[in-house]
Amino acid sequence: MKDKKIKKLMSYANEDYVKEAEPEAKVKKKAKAKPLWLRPAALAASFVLLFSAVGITLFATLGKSDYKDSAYYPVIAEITAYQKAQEAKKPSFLESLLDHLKAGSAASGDDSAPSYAPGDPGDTANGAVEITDHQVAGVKEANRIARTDTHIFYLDGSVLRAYTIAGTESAEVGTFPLSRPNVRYAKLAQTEFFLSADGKTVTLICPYTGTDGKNHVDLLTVDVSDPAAMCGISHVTVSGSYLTVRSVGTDIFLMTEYRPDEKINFGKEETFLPGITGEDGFSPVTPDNVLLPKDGITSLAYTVVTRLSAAGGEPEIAAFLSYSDEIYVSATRIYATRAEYVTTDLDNGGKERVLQSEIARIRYADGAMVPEPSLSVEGEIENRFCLDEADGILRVVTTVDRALYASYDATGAYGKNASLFCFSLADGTVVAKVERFAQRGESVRSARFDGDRLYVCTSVENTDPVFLFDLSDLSAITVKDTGTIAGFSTSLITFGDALLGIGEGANRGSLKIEVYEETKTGIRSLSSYTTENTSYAKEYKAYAIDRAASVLGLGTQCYGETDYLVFYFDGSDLYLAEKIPLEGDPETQRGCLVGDWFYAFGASDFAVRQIFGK
Amino acid sequence: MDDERIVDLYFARSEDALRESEEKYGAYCHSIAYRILRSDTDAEECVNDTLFHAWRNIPPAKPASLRHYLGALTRNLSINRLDKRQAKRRRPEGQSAPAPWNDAIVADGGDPEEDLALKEGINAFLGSLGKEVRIVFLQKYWYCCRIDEIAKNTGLSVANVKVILHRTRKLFSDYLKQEGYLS
Repeated sequence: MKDKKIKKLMSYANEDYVKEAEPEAKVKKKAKAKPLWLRPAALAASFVLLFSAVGITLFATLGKSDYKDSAYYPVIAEITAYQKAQEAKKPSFLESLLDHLKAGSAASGDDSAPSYAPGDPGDTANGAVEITDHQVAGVKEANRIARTDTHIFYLDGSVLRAYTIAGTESAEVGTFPLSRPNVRYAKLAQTEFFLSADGKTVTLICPYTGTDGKNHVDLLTVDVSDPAAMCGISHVTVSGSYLTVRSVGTDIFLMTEYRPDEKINFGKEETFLPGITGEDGFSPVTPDNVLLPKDGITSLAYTVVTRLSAAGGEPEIAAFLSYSDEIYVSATRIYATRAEYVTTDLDNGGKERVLQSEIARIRYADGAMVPEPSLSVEGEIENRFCLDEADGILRVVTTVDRALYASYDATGAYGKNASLFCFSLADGTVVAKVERFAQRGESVRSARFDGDRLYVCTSVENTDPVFLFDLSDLSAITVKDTGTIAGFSTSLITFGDALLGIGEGANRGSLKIEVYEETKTGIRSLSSYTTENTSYAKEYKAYAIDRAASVLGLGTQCYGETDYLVFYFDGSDLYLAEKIPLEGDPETQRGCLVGDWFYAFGASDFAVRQIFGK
Repeated sequence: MDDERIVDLYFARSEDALRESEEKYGAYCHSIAYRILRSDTDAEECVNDTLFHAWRNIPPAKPASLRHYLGALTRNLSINRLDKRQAKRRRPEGQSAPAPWNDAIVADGGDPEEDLALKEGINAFLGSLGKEVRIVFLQKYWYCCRIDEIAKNTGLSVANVKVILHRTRKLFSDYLKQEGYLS
């Protein structure tokens, strides 16, 4: 039995047993830093971050005013203000700092000529056949599976495997182990790859923690023109914690998180700025390419976008001085979102706490990366599918959350709910909105934009409605819903004229897949499949979605047994076509339909089943 | 201040409830969070989140033991945060994404809505273990202590702790199958 399962079950342990087992050697909080006049040794130190209860700093440090002439003065001012706020800040029970500090540093080049060819033109005979369900047309997402007409490539942990496509005669024909001297690729769940359009080159995205204790991302290029003899070509290393990656044309956009050094020296840009380290030394991000949050920074972390071109040349970088909760890449821009609670005092003596998100945006469509003014929206963004850019409008679905303290809420405008906001990308104004459209207490669980249609699943506990918005006329947005349905969907997938929801059923820990259709007055459930005590892959890229054949596949786990389920939808009913025992984590299992056969891949395991033509 | 009085403060929507909770159980919650997250900053965040969720959930929740309630809340929030920190896609070997059982505790403010028989069965199993074995097992799977920490806490050798855990996991799995909780 896996540790995770046991931890879950142990949450039911009686209080007496828990108390009996309490470790005597409690882990103590680090003592608040004593006032500096009690620590003579500290006076000799250079500039460091301190958390003083008294809030007094006796260091003779270089203040931000010494860098007034620096082109990075706005960045320096933000960092300095944040550090001072941290020093003076007392622990507040009602504020959540949401500090997602992750290690990171600057991008570095490599001695090999970079060669990333996700969009290489050329001979496309036996080229890549697209099987990943990309969120945005033309913006490719890396995955753990890809195929040509003759072979399927699957990333099995730290090994790239190649298989022939031959029904029951299919076989593994080649492997490429991920390796590089002095590098241990341990972040295997995050590793993924692109297959070039001509099907001859794979670009592997390999995050890892280096011997320097910092996080990096390797881009390994592999020649797969002969799947039986795959071989490495080159690599490039970008420093930072891996967030996500996209491929647009012949460019790769790599999103990472960078954290300044603990001991910042504003006279040395490499200690507080992301940049590129190459043959000519360190080149920091240009001042114009650093976005500052509107209301001040809440952590010392940058979200960094590195643009690498298959044509070669220096990588280009842009950065947002904040961590990111979610990243959405449209055909023209990269959006990074960050949520935080903002507490304000009310005139009546109470306090109001409101969940807000800032959406940073970087336009890339015109060649260079250009930061644009951030947008502010009430609420939190559940995932990238809650954002969609269309015709100069950014549409955002959020879970809003307002709380009132020490005061009575007579308005009913508090608590959790779901809202829709539409921003003009030209001037950042809200051009349309539907606020609090769900029942009080509900949160957004999933969303799906499909042209002018928006599907949203909200839930409180284990019931949900699914809403359908018509956004064709933003001045008159209409909405229908299903009413309350048991369970909720964590992913919504448009499936022809139907909508497919993958999520949980009425009972916690169950899997439910439900198919909806639109009626004149609402949305109704057409068909559903439920299995109890089953967890399932939540990663969207783990789903095998074949709309042409109306087939869906996903990995599941029930009491430690993992199976890959393949469904067929005939327009009105959803059928379980195959239940394939398969090793490995459902989140990293993958599958695809080729002709009449379904190919499923897991940890050192693969299976082939005939779905049609039996 | 005793727990009953603190809970009364929550019901009265007095912010003193939070200060009293933090004063009485802040260190306890921090130690739970730190063991899981191994980061002082994240542990502080979790304690703050614990108090925030306690404020939201009490009332209607009325925990019989505030210590256990806050400790369990902190544990679940910490595990959630750890999962989220690991980029959402990283999962322990062989496990899929966590079911929202942690959210249930956060939302309800009380015990997870689960099969009471399962809860009784689990506690019956724990009761059948020797005290030392039970302590080792819960330090690993409730408090998320590392093996070397458990060895230090209990005075056992690391090897001994590993053997105890291995055997008890097997016993637990067999027990659940025998009782029909596992197929």
